[in-house]
Amino acid sequence: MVSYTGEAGRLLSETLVRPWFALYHQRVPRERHCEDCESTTDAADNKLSTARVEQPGPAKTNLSPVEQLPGDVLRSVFELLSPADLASVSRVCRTFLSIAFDPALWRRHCLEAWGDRESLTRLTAAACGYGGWRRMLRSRAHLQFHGLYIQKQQYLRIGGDDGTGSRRVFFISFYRYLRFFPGGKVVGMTTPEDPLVSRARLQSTRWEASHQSWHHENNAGAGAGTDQVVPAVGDYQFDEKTRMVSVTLPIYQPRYAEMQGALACYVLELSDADGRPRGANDMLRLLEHSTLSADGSAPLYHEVKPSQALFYFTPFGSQYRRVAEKLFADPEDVKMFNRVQLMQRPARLQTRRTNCTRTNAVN
Amino acid sequence: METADGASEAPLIPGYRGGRVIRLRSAEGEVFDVEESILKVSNVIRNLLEDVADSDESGILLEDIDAKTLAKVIEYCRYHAQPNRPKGERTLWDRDFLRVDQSLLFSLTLAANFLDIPSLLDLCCRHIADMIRGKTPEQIRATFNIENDFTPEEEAQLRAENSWAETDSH
Repeated sequence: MVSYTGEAGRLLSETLVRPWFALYHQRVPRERHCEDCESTTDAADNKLSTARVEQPGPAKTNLSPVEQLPGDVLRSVFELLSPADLASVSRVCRTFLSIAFDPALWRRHCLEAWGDRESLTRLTAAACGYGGWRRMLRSRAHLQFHGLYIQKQQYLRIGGDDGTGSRRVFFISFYRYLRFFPGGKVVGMTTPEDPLVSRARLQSTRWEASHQSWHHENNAGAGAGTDQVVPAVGDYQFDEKTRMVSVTLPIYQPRYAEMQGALACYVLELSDADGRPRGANDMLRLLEHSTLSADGSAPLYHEVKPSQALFYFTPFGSQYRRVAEKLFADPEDVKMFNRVQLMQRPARLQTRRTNCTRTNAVN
Repeated sequence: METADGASEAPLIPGYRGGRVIRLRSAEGEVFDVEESILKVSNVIRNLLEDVADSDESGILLEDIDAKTLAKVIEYCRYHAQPNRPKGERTLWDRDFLRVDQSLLFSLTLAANFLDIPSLLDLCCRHIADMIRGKTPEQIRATFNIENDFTPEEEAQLRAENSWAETDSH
């Protein structure tokens, strides 16, 4: 009993004095964590991230306020960043580097990319083979989940006689959008809406809800006879070795009863866009495009124009608009052509034109 | 019983009725009298309140938080202590709340970390992350006024390591 009282008394006084309170807001040197992934961090990483401790170099006198934030706070900031942003951040300064190369940050992204198919044990072993989580994320093929793969299709269409005795030429463009999710689900949409308009509909968070409970109210809306193209939820399979993705998407076309229940099938190859270094995984090449109708007849293969077969990845975030405009904006002469066409068209045909665009956007 | 007695003590703010009032003092010694209920958002202050005597006139001294920041923190706590606000309204208010200059943003982040106010810390972190997103290393340095302290060799090595992530080579 005596010892209990003594111990309790000591603990109590320590609790009330709260000696740790003085430690708040102090920069305590961080101990390197001993994680299961530590061994997988290669020598170069270690050398870089501990460089600050080993050889302080010319001591930095004017630290920016952001560098004076506690390491834990910076870490929670970096946890919100995508792998690409994390890589940029690691090149800013030593303080940022020492936190941004934390293997645990990269492990999160690896788990997101492959965690749906492989256990942590297997992934850790694989990461060892690549020389670290960060290296694995760079070297191993994976689909990007934080944005849209967008393909732009354009073609010329000769219109009918509109009563003026001359035939008009329409320059029609539409887009195919694919957004992949971990676990084999994909959301696809084919629409004349440009990337800036479509983004809001495809980025909405409800698609990120648990994969088992997709909200299908959109599809119900399509059945009710609305003319708007809606995103469709389908499945995909990705083969890492061959880098092939096969996507199956249901087609919802309320205007065409015979297409009810039909499936659009894409076979795509994942690669890096021209001029982009290896590991960007930001380009999908459409190799095969077919439609399977519900009645079980032979699949209908569509022609794939090599010049228009590419899907480019556009990440969500502040640079979405910039990247999308760079990739998909019409050249000036096409813009001019469209403007002239629009001005010359009699007013009564305005609505028919939008219908044309819609129907042509079926596949 | 003791806590019940404390709650019924004469209020520090004249005319204020309800929970007890806590006196906070900033680094400069400026005094803030705040209702106890709204300070419960902060885990540190909530724990402290269990120890501080009710009649303590000197209040809690927060040595690391200046008056400007503390006022801002209290503003945040006061708004979020109100239940039943629609989520959209809160989001808009939060966005306006963080329309501040960088030095205040960082001292707010520090204060949120120090006082252990998880929602405010999360809000600040998100805001800082938004400032980083989609920028090149040079742009990040310019945004936060960070000095590049890498040697040229280290920089070349890092560029080779991370070249896959460059966003401006489309």
